[in-house]
Amino acid sequence: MEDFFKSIRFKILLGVLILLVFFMLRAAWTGGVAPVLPQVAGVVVTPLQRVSSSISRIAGDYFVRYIEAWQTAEENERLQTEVNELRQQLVELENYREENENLKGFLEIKERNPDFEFEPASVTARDPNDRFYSFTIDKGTLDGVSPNDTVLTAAGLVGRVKEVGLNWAKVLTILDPSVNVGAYDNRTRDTGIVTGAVDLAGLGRCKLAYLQRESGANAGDLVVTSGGSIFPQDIVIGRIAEIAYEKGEISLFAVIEPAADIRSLTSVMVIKSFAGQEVPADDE
Amino acid sequence: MTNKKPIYAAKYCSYIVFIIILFVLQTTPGFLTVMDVKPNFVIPAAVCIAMREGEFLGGLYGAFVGILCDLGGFNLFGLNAILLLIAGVACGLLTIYLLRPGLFNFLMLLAAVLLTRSLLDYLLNFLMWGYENVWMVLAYRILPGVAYSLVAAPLVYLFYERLYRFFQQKLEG
Repeated sequence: MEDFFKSIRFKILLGVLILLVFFMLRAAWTGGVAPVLPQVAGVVVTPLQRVSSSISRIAGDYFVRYIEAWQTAEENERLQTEVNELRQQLVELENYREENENLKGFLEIKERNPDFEFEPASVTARDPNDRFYSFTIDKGTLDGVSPNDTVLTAAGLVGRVKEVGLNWAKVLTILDPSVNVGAYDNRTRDTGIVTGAVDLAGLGRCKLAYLQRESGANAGDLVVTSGGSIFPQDIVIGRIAEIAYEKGEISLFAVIEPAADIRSLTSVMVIKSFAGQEVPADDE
Repeated sequence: MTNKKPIYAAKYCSYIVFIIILFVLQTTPGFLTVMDVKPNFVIPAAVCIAMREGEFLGGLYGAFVGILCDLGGFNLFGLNAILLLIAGVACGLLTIYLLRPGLFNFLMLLAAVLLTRSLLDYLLNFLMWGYENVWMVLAYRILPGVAYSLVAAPLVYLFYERLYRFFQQKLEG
């Protein structure tokens, strides 16, 4: 083993290690901007991920339909081919309908907020090590996406962009405890901070923290963003599922059922710019 | 000896393609997801390569796998690369001096690598920040993820062994 530590190979490995430490320090220093190495790797890997996620989506849709078609086939084998064709068309129609509904929702948001500049994106990857349903999308700096841009669906807020490459961006969701969103109860106007919680993330929920003890917020109330330099105002976050006391009973918090189905998203919109947006000097 | 160079080049390139395919599969949304837990395929591949190719290539491929993990992950870039470079060197050296390359030893080494990496991830990204109920991340996400990766790892081992033997036959022939 001593031979190894004296060999040129060990020195090469040490060189690689030093290079990686340099990249890590650079990544820590630059925050949301990805260093050169992942930029290059992203250019290679993102198109492959886009293809594999599309295949996975189509296969998933197909097998769901296939199970239904199989039951029909037992009753009438003669019509199997026709049924499969019709079901394939149905899948396509459902995709169109879903897309249509999404676009309608975005159109409504756009009509209410003409200053919003949208960029549609597909979810291309979900990391097996992530605990809060964060994901990667297929749009990056080439499409005008930048760190801290708001990500949403027609239903409501999803999260914010954490890191951007040329053709990809990583999105942190509101289920993540490191994401904080200023928000208020649409009925009572009580304000608080929407953030993730470890115990709620698994259920696809987040919480509205720092509500005053005297708050009149109740289950069923709609929670929307209060606006700021990162998130635009009045974006729907979700509905209050329950109210509880924080530890020490100093304040209340509300468990929120997000309006967007964050755990199974396939497509999102990125708000590239809006009136009042500021680019913070450092990533949060 | 000279005519074997293209075979070595093909072998090392095929390892890279093998790892990239595994990475694309492991990050594909919904692929082999069970109760929101997904297996990691690329770390088993790095351990396989380290066991067969020794500490030098083990370290280099470990670093490559780590870069991919950092690319897909949401933590500080470079941490996985450094950890897996060291893990690759360690697995290579252990296989040379102490262990035989085999499925059981592969699973033992892999368990050690996955647990070390996961516990460091838990310590640096969760425990240190003092989130409430942080143990739930360990109990419901990290440890099941390690277990699932270990269960799925023999498949990666099997594919890698076929690839390795294919090139060994070419080199010996």
